[in-house]
Amino acid sequence: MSKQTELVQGTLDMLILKTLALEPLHGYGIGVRIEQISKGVFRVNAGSLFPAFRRLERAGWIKPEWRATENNRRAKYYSLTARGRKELGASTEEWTRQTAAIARILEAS
Amino acid sequence: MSLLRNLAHGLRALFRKQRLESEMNEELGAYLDAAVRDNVRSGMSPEESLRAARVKMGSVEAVKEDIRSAGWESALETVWQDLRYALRMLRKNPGFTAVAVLTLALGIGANTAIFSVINAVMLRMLPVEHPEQLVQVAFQGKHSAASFIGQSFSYPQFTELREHNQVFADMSAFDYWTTFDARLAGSGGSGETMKAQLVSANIFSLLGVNAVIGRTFAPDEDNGAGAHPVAVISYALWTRVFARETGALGRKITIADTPFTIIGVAPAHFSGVNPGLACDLWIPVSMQPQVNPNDSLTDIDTHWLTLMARLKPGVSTEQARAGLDVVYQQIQRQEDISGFSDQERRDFFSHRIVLLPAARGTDYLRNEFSRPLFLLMAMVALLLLIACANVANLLLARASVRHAEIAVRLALGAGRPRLMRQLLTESTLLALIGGALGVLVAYWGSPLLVILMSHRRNQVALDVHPDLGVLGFTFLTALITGIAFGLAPALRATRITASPGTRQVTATRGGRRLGGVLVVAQVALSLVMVIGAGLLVRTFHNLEASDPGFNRQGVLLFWLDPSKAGYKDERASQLREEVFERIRQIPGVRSASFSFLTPISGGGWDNVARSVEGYTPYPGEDMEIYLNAVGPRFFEALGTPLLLGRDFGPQDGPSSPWVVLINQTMARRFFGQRSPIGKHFELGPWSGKQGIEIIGVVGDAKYMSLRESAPPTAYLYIPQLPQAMKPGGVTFEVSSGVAPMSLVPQVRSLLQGMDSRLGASDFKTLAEQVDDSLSREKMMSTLSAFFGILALLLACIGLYGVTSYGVARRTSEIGIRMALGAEQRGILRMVLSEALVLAVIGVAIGLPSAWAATRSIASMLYGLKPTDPLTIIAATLLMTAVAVFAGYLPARRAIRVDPMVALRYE
Repeated sequence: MSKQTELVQGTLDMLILKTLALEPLHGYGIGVRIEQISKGVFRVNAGSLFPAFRRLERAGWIKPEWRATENNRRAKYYSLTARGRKELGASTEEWTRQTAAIARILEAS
Repeated sequence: MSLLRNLAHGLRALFRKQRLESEMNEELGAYLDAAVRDNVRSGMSPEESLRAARVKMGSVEAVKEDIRSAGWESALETVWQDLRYALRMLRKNPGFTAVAVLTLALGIGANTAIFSVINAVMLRMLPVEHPEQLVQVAFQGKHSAASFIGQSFSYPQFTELREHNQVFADMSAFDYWTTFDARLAGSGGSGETMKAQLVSANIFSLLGVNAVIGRTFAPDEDNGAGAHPVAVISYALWTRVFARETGALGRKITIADTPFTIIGVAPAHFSGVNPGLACDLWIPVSMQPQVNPNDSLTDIDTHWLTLMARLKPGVSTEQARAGLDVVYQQIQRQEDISGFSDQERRDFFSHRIVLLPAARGTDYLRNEFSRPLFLLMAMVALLLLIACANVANLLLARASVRHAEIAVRLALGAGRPRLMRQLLTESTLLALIGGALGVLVAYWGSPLLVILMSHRRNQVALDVHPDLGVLGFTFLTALITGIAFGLAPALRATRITASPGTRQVTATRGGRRLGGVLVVAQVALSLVMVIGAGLLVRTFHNLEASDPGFNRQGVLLFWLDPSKAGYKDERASQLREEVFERIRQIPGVRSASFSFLTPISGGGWDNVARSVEGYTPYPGEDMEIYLNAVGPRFFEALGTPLLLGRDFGPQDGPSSPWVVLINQTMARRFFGQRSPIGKHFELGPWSGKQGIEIIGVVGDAKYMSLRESAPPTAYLYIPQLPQAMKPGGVTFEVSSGVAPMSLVPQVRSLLQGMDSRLGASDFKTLAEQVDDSLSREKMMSTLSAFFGILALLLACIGLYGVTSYGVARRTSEIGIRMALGAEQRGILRMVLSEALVLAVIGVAIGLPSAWAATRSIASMLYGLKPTDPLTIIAATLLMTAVAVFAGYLPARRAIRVDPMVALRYE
């Protein structure tokens, strides 16, 4: 089992947006999806997720909607807005640029 | 827009708490549910799943709290919470709150009061259109070696400059120096006196000020001397005398026996362009011959007008200056300088136009008062610091009382920053309440300060109502104060490690030391203030007691201008002589005279001495002397001794050779030890070819101010002066053994008896006139003494607090000592020495600080240096006495400690 890594706030936001780019999900589903895709490297708990949702909602990047879950419970499903999609593109680009630069620095001898 | 959305969400969170709470519960419930489902699917039993899910999620409340803090509104909520808690704390301790708030109100209020005055004098712009475009036209010239700024122009110069320049949108003129007494027509001699100012007709349009009712002057009201007896009155006058009735228009006001018709009212808050000089009404400058014959509309050499102009848009000040200078030089070339010496010619043509910024009006008041005001500001800032130290000490004492509460809160998990924020909120709240009260203090205090700045001749009228700037200043000061005195106690209070359960409240050693440091700082600052106050008080006293070279007491002054009653030339001279003779007959009068100028009157007449017999000046030497023209027995009336030669006498008439009396300084200057009697000198072409003969030497008398030593002065004899030079009005001096003002009715009836049209004005005593010149020093002396005493009081309270606290703390120790046989004297000494040690350290720090600080006021002192030993020693002794007094009461309490009680008290 790989070590659990702490996620920086901005990065978490980006991951949530990416997760929602595929389909709308509720809170638990988002957490599970992130864990799954990262193969267990990132485990995000409720205490980090839900404040992030509030932030993203306030920024206008995601949009909540009450729906029924599989168990017929009411839960908030979040979906990506158009602006959120744009933001995802922008931050992905920025992230890629930064990691490439870091990689270059690390490779240089 | 995410900002708006953020705002909306936050507001919704604030006002729909219940709804959001239930929504969060529901969402988290669904989360938990989904987690449980997952766990069950992966094979755990239902109970295990639930437990695992719960453990993974953590405390629901904690998650909810995290969600809540993700919005800006949570910060707001905590601030609100802190405020309410702080208010509750303050209410629970009314004694502490009252003392702290009062101390702060005094400190902040004093600062606000001084700042309001500074605001009105130096910062506030004129309430006119685009004040930043206004400039005052002045010229810079040389007078022998020294350069000076001349601010007065003649009327012909004004019209020339106005007509021929390209750089100003408009230019106007006004008489800054003279205001006239005005009365409501028909009120006879009674009714209030109002102040009128001569202005050119375009001044209101230049300033962009429109009449509230009626109209302002029309451009043609500048033409035709004496043809337009109209007046614009101020809003304040309109309110005071006419109760804001529109019927005020058309009413008449009398100035110098000429009726003026009111044609308009100026807007509220407009009182002219001279800060501090509150004009009640303005009259066209074309009316000058009627009200002020001493000046002139036609003579190019009579400089009496101040000029103000508005720059054309797009023209810089330098461009305007250069442009106007060209016109000015042309005007200069047209003047008659035939009688000038070479040096004077050079000086004359060196004059250059300068433009002074006039957005805040003319700067007379600023120049007079900017230094004293800044000094006062420094003093009240020091006072505030001392007050802060007091309140900080109070807070420290309270913090040790709240030890248990804070320890519990820390133990429950409150972060230190959070607690500090709470404590700082308390102190800031205290400061803000103190600040609000301080505004009230300032509301009453600033008018008081303005009164202190005024004196009879020059009533300062300033609008010191707190405006937005002043309120902002108060708020900022209160905020900074709150943080300043709250920070250290908050830091100290939250530093305690959580150890609740101690019943005895012991202050940490660091806390005691901080308290001591604060008191030492207080003592040091107070000492600085007391020394400063001592220096200023003694300066005033020195000036008051200085020998001016004439009799200050027992001399009545009044102004008489026979030309107002129709007397001209010969008849005027005769009338003067007659009045002089008659006044001497009044019972009680010892002597009388009249003169052009009186000492310390604010006016001066200087000239250049030429061709002094027996004296060869080196090239470029400053031969300036001061002049006065006097009547018979002048020196007798004023009590200036005749040292050599003879006084003026009946043999000195209009056809006899001109004679003059000079003062000792002039004699020594030009003649050294030799006798100047019989020597001659000249004053310019008008003193004739044979010059003026010196017939006597009188003692030195102070001329312009008490501070400066007497300049070389020459006294001409009025009866000898050629008609053109004879002054229209003169000041009469009446010396007697009774109170001078008691002679006023007799003088009045005497004049009435001679001619009912004769009116004397401006009755005052010479003592008052001299006192007026000291008004600044008096103000500084009074205020610095007041603040110095306040500072001492605060330091005393601070010392008392610390010592008393020390006694309370060491009660059991004292009990033990007494039980072991210590004498009362020993205990007294122990307690007192605590106070004295602090005071001594404070003095040790205060003395060098005072030395550094008082150097900046050296120029304001008279008769003593900033390092005056007497003042310093006296201040130090006073501080020591205060320290002993402050320590005495707690010491007495310490002696009365009953050892048995003390020992049992744990």
